[in-house]
Amino acid sequence: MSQRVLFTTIFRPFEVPGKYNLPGDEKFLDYFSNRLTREPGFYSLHDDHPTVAPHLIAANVDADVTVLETPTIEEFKAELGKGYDVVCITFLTLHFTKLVHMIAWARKLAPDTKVVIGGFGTALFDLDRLDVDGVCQAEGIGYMRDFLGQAAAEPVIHPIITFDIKMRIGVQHPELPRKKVGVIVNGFGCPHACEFCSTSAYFGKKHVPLIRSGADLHGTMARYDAEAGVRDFVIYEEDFYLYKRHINDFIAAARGDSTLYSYACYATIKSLSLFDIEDLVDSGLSHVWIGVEAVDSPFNKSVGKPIREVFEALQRYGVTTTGSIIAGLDHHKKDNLEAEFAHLASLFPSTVQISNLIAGPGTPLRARLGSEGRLAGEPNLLDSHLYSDQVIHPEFGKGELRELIFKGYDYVYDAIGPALYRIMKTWYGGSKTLRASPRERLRARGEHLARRASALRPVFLRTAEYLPNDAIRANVAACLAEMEADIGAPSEAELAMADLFRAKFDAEKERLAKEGAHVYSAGTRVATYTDRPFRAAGVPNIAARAPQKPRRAGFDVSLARLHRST
Amino acid sequence: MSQDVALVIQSLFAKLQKLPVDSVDMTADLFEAYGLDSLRAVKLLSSLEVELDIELPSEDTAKIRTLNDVLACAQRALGAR
Repeated sequence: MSQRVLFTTIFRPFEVPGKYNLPGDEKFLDYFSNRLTREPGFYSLHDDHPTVAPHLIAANVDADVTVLETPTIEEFKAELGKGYDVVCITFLTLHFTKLVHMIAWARKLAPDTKVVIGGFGTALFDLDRLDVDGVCQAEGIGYMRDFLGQAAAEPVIHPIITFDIKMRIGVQHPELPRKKVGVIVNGFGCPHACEFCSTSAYFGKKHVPLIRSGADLHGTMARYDAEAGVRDFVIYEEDFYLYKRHINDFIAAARGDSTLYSYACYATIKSLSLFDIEDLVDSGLSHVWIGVEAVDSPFNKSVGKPIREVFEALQRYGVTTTGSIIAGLDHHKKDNLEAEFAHLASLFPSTVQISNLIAGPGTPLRARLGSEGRLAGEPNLLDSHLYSDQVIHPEFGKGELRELIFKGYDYVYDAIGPALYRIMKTWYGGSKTLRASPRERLRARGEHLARRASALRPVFLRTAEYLPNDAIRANVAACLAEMEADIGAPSEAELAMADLFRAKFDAEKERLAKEGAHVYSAGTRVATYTDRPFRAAGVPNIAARAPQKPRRAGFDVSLARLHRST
Repeated sequence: MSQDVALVIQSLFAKLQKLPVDSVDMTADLFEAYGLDSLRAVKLLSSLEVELDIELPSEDTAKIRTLNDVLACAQRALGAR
């Protein structure tokens, strides 16, 4: 008889301040305008990101699985009454108290059901003391197959997981356009082992590949295209280009297909320096997140070509970028932090992340700062995120870095304009380079980029007064004029869309004046996996190797740090 | 009513600390007398919320030192329901 498994995230709401949430905790699911990158103003982007791991596991275990994302506690309780054999709860550190509450409900309403917990929150505490039957602290497919008594070496497939990217004001005005994107997990962990990196520490400073070859990665993209009509992807891998054989195989597979896919990925200066940018663009590179970290980054991953050269080469080919820096490194002082913001802005990244120095559980940084007496005592777990103030820095008072970070976001916005403008300008600039290429595939990508840049024009045609200052207005106007001279005037449809954007900006301005800043509230999503897709004929096995057995590691966070009150 | 709730609290605490129910002292300092740590405190309060289907406000729970404090919190929450 089939086992029945429920995967669930932590319950919502996230946006209501109180026992479980701090003000602004809507960030949990909004990567673009809250959790991973921020931007003031009306042009900021938004996404409603899926929780990927439960889907990845659900598609690969021998069980009838329901995946519940951001349910209410009442919905979770109702689901518990449906007779599951196993309930798996994935959580982040800041949701620890919600996790304990959900476990208590599971024990009351489904006493015969086994409870397993997973996610990055499991880096915390000695969680074996919770009333659970399993703690997954490793690659989840292998863990759950083992837990359910399934052979680890069965084929692995990548499920179809998509989400929409839109403008933040599109939350209030759903008629505005959005873009569907597919998620592909290529692997986990990172061998660079930067001292602050929680991911690297979590996977024992090792790379754990999921997709075994570049051809399989390309095949996964083709399957998304066939099954969901998706040709744009975000690839989860800490340093995608570090695995040269895998990438060369992927580039070859991409070149063997006439369909042009585009992908966003994470990479380092070190790995990007291994490749000719043109080859990466040919493989579909459209966006890359680079950890800039600091003007003189102290991390090994930053060794390679000069960072400015890399950013300029990427932009020359129309590749948009996210540049991220860390505020609060050892050498930072009040009088050199603004130089970091200026350096970041000067690279003209399309989006930026400025985070506080976070010493996550299990990281070498946490050990070092602990030995130096620089860990703030009794941190509030609800406040565990990119902007947390958990590290004592001799140059900055409590809360001071957080304030400076938000000023940094304002600085970048004022200096180089909204992310959407930077994206449009990069796409258009890249289209000029690529349309002139002798290589047919690159010329086709150039035409594609020109169409994309053109599709963004309506956002700016009627909204100049919403831009941050006159210098940015002049830059945007110059970019629009150059595009018009090159690729033609906006079409009737684009002009109509420009009127729509203007109307929505005005409506949002009016709404903000009346109601204050808008708060994003997630909805419940339910998916089921009952047909064992990993055993279906014709579905390719992508497994790099038999998935990992769970890792058992000690935790270095004192229980005394668990703090319930807000 | 108050006695029923006190019994629930005593029973949950005894189970959590692996103690006989009748040995639980409602007036003892939980952290000093029983060595309660913050993880167990969260588990106790969550179990109580689930058992009584109430929500204990964090401004109340942050001040708890004894099981009588827990009882007072629970009674306020039940009264507000």
